[in-house]
Amino acid sequence: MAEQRVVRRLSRRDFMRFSSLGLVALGLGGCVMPTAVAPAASPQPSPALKKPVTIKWAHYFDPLQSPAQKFNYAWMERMVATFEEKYPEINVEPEYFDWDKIDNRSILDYEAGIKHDVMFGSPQLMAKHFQVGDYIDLTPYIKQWPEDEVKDFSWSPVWASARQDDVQIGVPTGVHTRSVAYRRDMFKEAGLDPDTPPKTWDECLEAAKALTKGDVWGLGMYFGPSRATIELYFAPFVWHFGGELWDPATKKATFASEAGVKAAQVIYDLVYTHKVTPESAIGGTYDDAILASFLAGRLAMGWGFGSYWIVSLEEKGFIKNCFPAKAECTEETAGVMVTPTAPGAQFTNAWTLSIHKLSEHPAEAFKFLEFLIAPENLYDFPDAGLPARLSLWSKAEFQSSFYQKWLEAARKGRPMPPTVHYPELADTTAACLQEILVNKAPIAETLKKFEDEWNAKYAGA
Amino acid sequence: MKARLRAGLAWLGILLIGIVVFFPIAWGVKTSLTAPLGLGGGSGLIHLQNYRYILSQPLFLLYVKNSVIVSLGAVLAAIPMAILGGYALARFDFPGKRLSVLLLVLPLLPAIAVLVPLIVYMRRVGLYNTLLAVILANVVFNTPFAVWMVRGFILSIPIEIEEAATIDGCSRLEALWQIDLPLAAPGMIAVGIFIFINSWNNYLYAFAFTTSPELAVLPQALLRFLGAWGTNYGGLTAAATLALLPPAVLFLLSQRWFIMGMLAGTGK
Amino acid sequence: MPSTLERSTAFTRRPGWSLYLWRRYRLPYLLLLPVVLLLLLFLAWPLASVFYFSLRRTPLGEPSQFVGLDNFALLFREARFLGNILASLQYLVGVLGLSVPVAYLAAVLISSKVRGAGAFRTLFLLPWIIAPVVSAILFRTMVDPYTGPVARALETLTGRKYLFLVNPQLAVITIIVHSAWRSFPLEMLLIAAGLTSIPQELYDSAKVDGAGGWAQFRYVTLPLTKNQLFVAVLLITIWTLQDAEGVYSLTQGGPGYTTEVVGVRLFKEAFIYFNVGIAAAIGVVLIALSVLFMVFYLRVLGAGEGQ
Repeated sequence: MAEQRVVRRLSRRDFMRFSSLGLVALGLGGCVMPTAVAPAASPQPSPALKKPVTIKWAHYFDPLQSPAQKFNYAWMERMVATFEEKYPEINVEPEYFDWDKIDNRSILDYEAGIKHDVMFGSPQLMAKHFQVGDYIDLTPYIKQWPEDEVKDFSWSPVWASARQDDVQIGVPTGVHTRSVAYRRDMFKEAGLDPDTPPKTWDECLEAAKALTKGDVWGLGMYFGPSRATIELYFAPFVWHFGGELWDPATKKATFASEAGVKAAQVIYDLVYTHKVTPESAIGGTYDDAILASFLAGRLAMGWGFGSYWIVSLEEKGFIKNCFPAKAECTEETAGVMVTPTAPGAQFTNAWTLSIHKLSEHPAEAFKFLEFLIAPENLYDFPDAGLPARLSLWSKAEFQSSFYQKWLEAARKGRPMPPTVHYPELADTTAACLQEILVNKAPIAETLKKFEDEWNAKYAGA
Repeated sequence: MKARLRAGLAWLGILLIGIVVFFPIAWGVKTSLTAPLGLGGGSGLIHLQNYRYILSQPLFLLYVKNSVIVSLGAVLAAIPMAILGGYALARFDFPGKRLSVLLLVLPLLPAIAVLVPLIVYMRRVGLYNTLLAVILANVVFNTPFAVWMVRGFILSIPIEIEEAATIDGCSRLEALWQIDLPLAAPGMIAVGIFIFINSWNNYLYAFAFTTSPELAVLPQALLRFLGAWGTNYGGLTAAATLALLPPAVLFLLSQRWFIMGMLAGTGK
Repeated sequence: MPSTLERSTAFTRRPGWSLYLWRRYRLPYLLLLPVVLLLLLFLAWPLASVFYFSLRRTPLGEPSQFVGLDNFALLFREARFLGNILASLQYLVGVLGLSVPVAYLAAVLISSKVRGAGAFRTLFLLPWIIAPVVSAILFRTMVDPYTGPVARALETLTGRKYLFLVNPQLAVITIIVHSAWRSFPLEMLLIAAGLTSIPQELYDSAKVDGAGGWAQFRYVTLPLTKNQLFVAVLLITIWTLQDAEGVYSLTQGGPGYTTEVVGVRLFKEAFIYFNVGIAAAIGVVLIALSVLFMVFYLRVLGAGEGQ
């Protein structure tokens, strides 16, 4: 009996030990092997040639986002292939980052010692990049450009935001500008001429009142918790009334100034006095409030309509032959007008290309950067449909009135204030506007309250 | 008769709760079956394009692989430690026992509060931007709960059985192997699945400790659908439904043990 | 061959007390070593770091400087932060208040002798298994005033348009319902596990004593599931207090700051604004809140699991 027990015990023990060892080994193997391979800084040499220099390109084009956007991804792949063919000694390795995290990643990786080379960046965060110093100064390279080349880019307000004193850390690629999209058919019905949309704010307001009927709102806006609120809906009005959001001299927020109060009052009136803007604009997402609503026919005019939505208008059939741009581009059911605030009171943006401070091959990286912004390549850059190079605008495809209006909008624009704490400023003003609108709070006091909150933490920084 | 009425009421209750529970998921699945914008897509109620599209992307399979590595790794690392620690706490009395209990309470504290220093720490030890860091984070925050549960399982096993085995000549560890573990197996499964699901759905640790796109896990991949040009809801819900399957299947297969384990672990 | 027990007792008779201590307790210390080491290395140090950083200010790209309790002073003087704490408490109370009763109900139902009820267990588990970001976005689309089924159903029923993400009360309700929906499966499972251990005789004898359904629940079910309830409530409290991505994906803290719970505020300060000092200070406050709740639960639900 005892012997039986001993035998059984042994075999079970062995089994347990073996299986536990196996599990542990599997676990360790599972942990260690992939992580040994995973940190993806090492280049993958192609089977034919071993390329001596590899540069990384941080972008935000992901095919997973939407199959309809695959032309962006295709452009990216084509750029890499064409460049590598032209310069076989340089290998380009694209790396994907979420569009709203790519700047932060650059900063975080700089502090962690992780290298990148060519990167896309946002102009609004340039102040942060300047302070952290994670992008190199491109001036030595740009100095080698002919003057025309520089002028081709420096017209854009985005160029200015990537520049501080004599240091240039980014080159604009596309142009993200906004206009006001409107329904030509609804204009006709309301007795307005669709070919002469409003040119001043008062005209726009009058039109909005005339257009609001039934389920249709005259003027779509958005005041939700997103940067779109400060960029497209609050700042333009503050600027329109001659004020500023932030004073670079004192480094204090100034959005509670008289101009700010007037701007907030305009917004308040749109929703509650004139009732041309739906209350739902106060929440939800920017896409839903403007694009989806406009396409669904709930808005007669959509303020803050982005150039990145030209493709959607084309898909819906509201415009024809406009995307990809052709000379015969016509506005059918919908058209665009230049935002009717005072000249200069408009936000213009673009993605910029920069080179990371920790890049080991800045010269090659700049070569790639130059390649990307070469006219024949940039022209094709589908992201916004709008060229960054002034010279490209004189091409036949952009001569239609549709595109000329976008050009005017792009020219009219200015960037966001160059404060390091821009994200906080955007969030604070959005929250402020929401409080004013939702609680029907007194405008001047609420603005002051939020301005004080921001200044308590960030004034002088 | 009364039994019939009770059964009827019970079923009504279950149905109501079921509707509330299932409705958002049904809504998500329905969204995933709608035609994606810009792909035409013809008429018909069910469009599988979203699923086909996602499954055809090698990137998506990479994210699945990363998620599996992280979740399995966390489970395989946490369970042995939990077994040893839980046994110690259940069967022994020693100076410093109270302190150990305190230590186990620590990870209940909000992970997000210690995340930033943890990132700095990971950088210092050279684990930043590795899946191992993500696995470690999941282990650290899940193991104490596992230890506690194992302690509960072992406490529920009468010590006489172990003593009988020891008298027969096993060491205490051998007793642990042969007696306690088989009896506590349902509990181990429960804890393992709990850790797996937590790690599978966790976004924060991967977001904080990795930066290379090749190391992304499924929750991060899901956020990618909130693109720069608008949200691809169809793709998002399709990917989410796919991501839902492994944990759901795991749970389905091990339901009974999970319940038994939960009971044993929290009983005494 | 003497067993370990025999060997260890043999040592008590020898001189050399500390050696004895080590020899005697070696096994449990060794067994606990991996866990303790892991926690000390990866948790204790970062925890100390949080306290350290909360006393400093670290502007981006510059070295940090000691500022004492400035960060805390700033936070506690700020209406926004006090609002954050209140929002978190409101959120927690709402989630527990909604999910625990439903969990009990569901647990009783699936444990009942009714045929086929147990099959629903997996279905009821789904809210916990689905990724938080996804469920948050699903809920957000469900309450969209134009395309969301919930909002539209309400509109047809009552004729009024409800703007869930604009109206502060509705926004709070939305995040509570979302979190309660996610939390209830785990609670239900734990409670159901507890229910299976209650012998039917107790219910029978209670019935004999004249106790109706509610009294049975109060005097039999509730006390005997106290331990499971403790674990469930503790886990959900911790979850809810530190929830960031769930609420952020739904409302981003809006409208205004009404749904900006401490977790969301911490997430923004740490990962979007990079305000290390403030984020650490908020972290300290969050840890303090968690500890407070843990102590509170220990007292009220008296876990007494044998310290």
